[in-house]
Amino acid sequence: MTKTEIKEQKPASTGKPDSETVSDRVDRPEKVDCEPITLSNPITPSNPMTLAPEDKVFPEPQLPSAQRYTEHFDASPKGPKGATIEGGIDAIVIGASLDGMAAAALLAKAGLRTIVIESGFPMIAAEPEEFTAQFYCDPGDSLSFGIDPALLQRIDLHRHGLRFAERRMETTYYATGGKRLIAPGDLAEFANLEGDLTDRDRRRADLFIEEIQSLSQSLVPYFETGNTEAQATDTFNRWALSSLEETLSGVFDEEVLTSIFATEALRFSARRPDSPMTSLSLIRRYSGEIAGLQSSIGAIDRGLQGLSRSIKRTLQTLGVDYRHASEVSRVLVEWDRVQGVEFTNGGQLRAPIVVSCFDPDTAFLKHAGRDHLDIEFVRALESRAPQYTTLVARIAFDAKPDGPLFNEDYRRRVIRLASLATIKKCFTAARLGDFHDDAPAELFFPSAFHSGLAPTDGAVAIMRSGPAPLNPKPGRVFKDWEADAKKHALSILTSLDETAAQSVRSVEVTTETSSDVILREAEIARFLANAGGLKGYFYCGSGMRIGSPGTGAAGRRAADTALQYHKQLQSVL
Amino acid sequence: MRKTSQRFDLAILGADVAGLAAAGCAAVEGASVLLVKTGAEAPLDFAGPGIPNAVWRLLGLEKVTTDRPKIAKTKTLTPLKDNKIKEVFELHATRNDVIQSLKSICPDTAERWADFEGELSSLTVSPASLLHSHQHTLYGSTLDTLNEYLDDCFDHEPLKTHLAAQSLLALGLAGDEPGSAGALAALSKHAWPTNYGQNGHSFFDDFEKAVLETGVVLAQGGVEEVASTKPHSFDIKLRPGDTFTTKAVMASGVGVARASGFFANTARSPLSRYSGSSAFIRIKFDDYPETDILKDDERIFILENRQELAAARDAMAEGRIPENLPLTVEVNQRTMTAFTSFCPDQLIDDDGSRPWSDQDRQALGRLVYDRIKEHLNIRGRPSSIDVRIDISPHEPDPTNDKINRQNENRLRTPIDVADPVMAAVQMALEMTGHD
Amino acid sequence: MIFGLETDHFKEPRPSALYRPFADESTANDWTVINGIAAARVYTDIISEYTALHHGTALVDLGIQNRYAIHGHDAAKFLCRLSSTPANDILVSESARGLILNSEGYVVDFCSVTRLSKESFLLTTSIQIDRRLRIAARGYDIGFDNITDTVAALGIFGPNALKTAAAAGFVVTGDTLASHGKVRGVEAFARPVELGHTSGIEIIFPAEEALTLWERVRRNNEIIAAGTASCEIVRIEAGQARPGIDFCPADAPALSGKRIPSEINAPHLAPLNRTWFNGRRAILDTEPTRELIPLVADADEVIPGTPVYERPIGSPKNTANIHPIGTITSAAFSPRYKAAICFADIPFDHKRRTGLLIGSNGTGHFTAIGGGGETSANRLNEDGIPGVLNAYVKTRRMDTPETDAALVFKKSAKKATERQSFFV
Repeated sequence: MTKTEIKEQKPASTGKPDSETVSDRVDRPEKVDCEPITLSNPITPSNPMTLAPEDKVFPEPQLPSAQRYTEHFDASPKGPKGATIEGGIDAIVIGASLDGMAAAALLAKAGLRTIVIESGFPMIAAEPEEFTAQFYCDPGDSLSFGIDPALLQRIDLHRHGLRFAERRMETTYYATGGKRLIAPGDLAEFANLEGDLTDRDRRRADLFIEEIQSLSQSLVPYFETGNTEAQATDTFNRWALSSLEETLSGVFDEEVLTSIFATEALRFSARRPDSPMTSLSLIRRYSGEIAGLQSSIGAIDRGLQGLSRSIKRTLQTLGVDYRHASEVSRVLVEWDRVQGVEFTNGGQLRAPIVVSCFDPDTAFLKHAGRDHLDIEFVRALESRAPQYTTLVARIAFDAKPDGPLFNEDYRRRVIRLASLATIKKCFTAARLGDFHDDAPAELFFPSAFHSGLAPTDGAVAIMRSGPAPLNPKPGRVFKDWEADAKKHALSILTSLDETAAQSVRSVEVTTETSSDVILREAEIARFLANAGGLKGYFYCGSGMRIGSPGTGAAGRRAADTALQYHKQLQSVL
Repeated sequence: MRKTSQRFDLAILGADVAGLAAAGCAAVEGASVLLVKTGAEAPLDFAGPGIPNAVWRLLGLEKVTTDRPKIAKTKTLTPLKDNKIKEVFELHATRNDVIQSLKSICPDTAERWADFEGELSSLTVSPASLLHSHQHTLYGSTLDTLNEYLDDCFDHEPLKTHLAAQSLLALGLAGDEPGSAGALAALSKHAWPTNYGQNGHSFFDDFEKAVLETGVVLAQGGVEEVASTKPHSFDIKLRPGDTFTTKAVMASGVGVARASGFFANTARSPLSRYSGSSAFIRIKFDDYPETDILKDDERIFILENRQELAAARDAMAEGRIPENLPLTVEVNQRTMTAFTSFCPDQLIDDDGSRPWSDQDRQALGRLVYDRIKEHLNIRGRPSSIDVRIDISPHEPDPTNDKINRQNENRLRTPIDVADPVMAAVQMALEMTGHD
Repeated sequence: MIFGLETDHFKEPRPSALYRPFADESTANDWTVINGIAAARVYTDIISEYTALHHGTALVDLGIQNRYAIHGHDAAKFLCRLSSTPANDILVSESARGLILNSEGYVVDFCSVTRLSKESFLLTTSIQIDRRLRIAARGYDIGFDNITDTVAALGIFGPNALKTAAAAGFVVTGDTLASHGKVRGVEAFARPVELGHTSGIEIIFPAEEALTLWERVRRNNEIIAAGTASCEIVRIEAGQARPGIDFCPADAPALSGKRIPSEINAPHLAPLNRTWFNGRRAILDTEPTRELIPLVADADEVIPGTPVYERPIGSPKNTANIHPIGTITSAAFSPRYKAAICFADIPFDHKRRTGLLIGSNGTGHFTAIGGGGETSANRLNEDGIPGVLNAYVKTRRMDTPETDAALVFKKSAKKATERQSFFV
């Protein structure tokens, strides 16, 4: 089996909705519907906390594109009947996320024969997904809050076609009472926020962001290497242990600024703002760097596919074997070392280095197997129990009516603000299984940057809102939750722009895991980075995202340690 | 009006057990200490924290008393199936009794108890270790929530509720905060009744006497103002008009600081919270309140399940009085005292927020009495209900433009931990340079 | 800033199942607490108890150890992960020793496992590890019960142990196999156990029947009860470290004093070619930094906690160079050696020829002990460490079954690794 064969067989990943009309494309398989799961034991009010993990009411994440590939084409070594075991490889990267592909690129650049397996868990889909007839959307996050500058420099994504449709995206904040504030895309300019604010508050906002950024700079060694010795300064102590509410209290005269920072910090958070250690979560939003601009928000041209495509091009130039294969059933562990991966069809790929970018549970409990892991490590993996989730709604619009959303904010990120008090109420509601009407929300229109996603008149939006209830209300089932979630998304839209809400064609809802406090995530990430002591196994999946999400830094780190390990192997042999 | 020329090394606001212990220890180590009885201390008919052995040794308390009575039992009420009949879940203060009683209630758990007790010591965390803990050991994740930790250890829900009540009710936390597992360390501390009533023999009196013998100067009066004219010099004005000068000032605990109207400047700990007030409700009866459930040397937690804690915290954060207010209740002769730390700082309703008014206090008192009456089946009428709520200002006056909170003039307060007495002692020794 | 526990609350001892009959044996009335359970240090006098352990028959209350019954489909797999015992390989009624390690490779405890049936085991540990078991059991098809308080465990030690047990009705079929049956209608379980150089039988039966079965064994007047003090002598003679005394158990909150297996003479209990167990990867990467060596001192008494000083070669005259390198962790007078024997915790691979001094750091009452027997007392004196040492003794390293096993293992392991390729 040679690389060229595989490339030829690879289905045309260029069949993307570009400028061509959507109806031109024919071979799109039908969307796999997820079955709503009904709770067999309804959660009773007296017993809501005893919900076992297996009773989770959400269906497993759908993997339409992977299924699609496995149906038509399977490049994994054949199973027992064909019984192929393929070797002669230096490194295998399983899962094709930004981090995974970045790791693959760096490994290949260092001269390792590397294979990327897009298997079962395509974090960056090869193509946008059709969530409603003729409307397409990325399954992941299309906005970028930061890309690791060191990574960009080393694999030079810009040369391979990474472009930003919007380098510094403006954000419109919708405050209660119809007040709108527009924040410039460059954080250095944050003080020039359009809106009614006193000079003193603007100055303070500037100082505040500066403090967060310098803190996050000083925390880099803490997160990168786990070196905590240098960090125990008073400033760090104060920031690390305080609640967000405490940190924000008395800083600004205007309530709206407090709301802006609270809403931004608690994007996807599973912890209440009055819970200790939440104030560090501000660095999630304000620490990243994109397109060379500190913590701006960028819209990548063609969203995640744009990014995906540029990385794939990099991989191509570097000669990385990129395969669509059947699902990985396990990572082969012999004593303390990883020896490759096995697929569900029984075939094996053998290599001394395996990089995984699956979620921690899949990468370790399922693939490596708890029999091979230390008790303490498994306990750390299992102790992450989110109480709340983030609602992701994909919204299809038939038309773009006149209204603030489409007229002015179509190419901006839109945030519906919530005050600290409201956010606390949202957490209370979510704990009880309800959506709070005034929950903070983020809205963004991928179709503004990528015309192929919707018919000419239409538009596509992704809305995130949280905290959302993880479980349906006691006595109710997933279907009710879904209906409530759709209603909730529509009500948010109505509150932002009534005319826009009227032209909604359909709403699809899913959830995203909410994040824990940063210190705890860092603690678990340090554990994960060591892969439980399994030699040759390197991890760069979702458990490693501590600062701003999806920066590729985890992939770079995994590749660097893998290279060190490779060197060690070479020297022994 | 008194103005002494003496300049004290340290002034401690709050002459409660923690304040006395801190003052005594600092004085034994050679500092001149002023102890202010502000009147904002926790009422004496509520059991105080036990004296740590180190303090006992340093102050030589064996000369004063050999009496170390403890709260013999702690109880919670467990709702049975129909939610009406409630069973008393009780835990004794002594180990053998605990194991014996657990054996009859939940045999599986009794075997685990000794192991659990041993582990409590691993929960004594410091903020520093929190940041330095790369070892994610089985027991050592200092960022664990209390609920997670209890779920790791036990299956018996009433026991978990009881342990959560015992460790969290004083702190006003709900158990889902990261790091709140550290509160379980409080289980290893005993509550000591400070006031024994009729036979006139009170440990607290003996303790106070012993502390004053170390040379601590005791002043009485509410604190009007703490003014700092120059570095390391504070003028403390008391309500009768006395003024004292000291090099350093601290409060004996967050409660006293708040009750005296100060913004508490406490070091961060996962066990400290930012908002919320606590309340003491003292219910006096004409006769001894008849109840089968609570006795003189016992303490009962009114909390039916752990979800009530979360609900109470949520209500408090939203400015409401929690529907099922978690309470700690003790009885002492004809007085029944209840304590809760789940009161909002300000009451918020549809009309906006308002500070606590007299009516609100009375309403809280009635609510607490009804709750106690319902749970403890009290026969007998109360003659009076006093309510005291300790609220602190949460927004310090933003006079400087810098976002540097370190220099703000707040009253230094010991860190919120499972052992408040030792925390106060440690701080007093630190501030007088005898760490 | 936040403080350790300081309360008597946790020290309150509870009686073991055999407390009452054993307490009747006590004339010395010298008690201590182990694992929260009351245990007699001495019943009559140490030397006669020690003699009985080696030459007669002695009864030991083994109720102070923790016992767990583990059963279920995955029991063997689970035990192989939890501990370094070869639970997978032992046959029914066989027993095996091992270590429980944490993920950093530090020793949590010594343990032993006896296979009761295909899917059930008896796990004995010296400290409580309930929560570790609970957490480790997640995802495995097993159940476990802490049976410490529900069973009585009686140890019969000495050359006549087998005979004594047989006379009481406990028939042990072989030297290595456990047996399970009924004695006078009471369910009882007997297995061979070892206590250093002396071997014996451990009988486990329901706590309610403690008196009945005790009576059956105790009918023989030759038997005396042995307390923990005499067992300690035997333990040190055997070279077995004890968690909490010679090293800090890994689950304790302390930051120092935790040891990996090769640091406490127990590398052979966690051989890397056994199945995968918790902490295996960590000990693979961890080099020992400390060493626990058993020593015989030419003195009648050595006190635990005494600092151990190093006398560097080449500069013996310079007393300023004498600095503490470790401590004595446990010590006892051994009637067998007629000398004080002790464990010294010192840096790993401490140069054999360098003298070790055990001193009291201050008043001049130092005891000099030559490590490895190289440095004789006289030479030390000639080297002229002046004034500080006014008492010194000839000493030597003690050969014990445990250190011998460790040594043999280390040698064979070295050979094995020389042959091993990197990937195995």
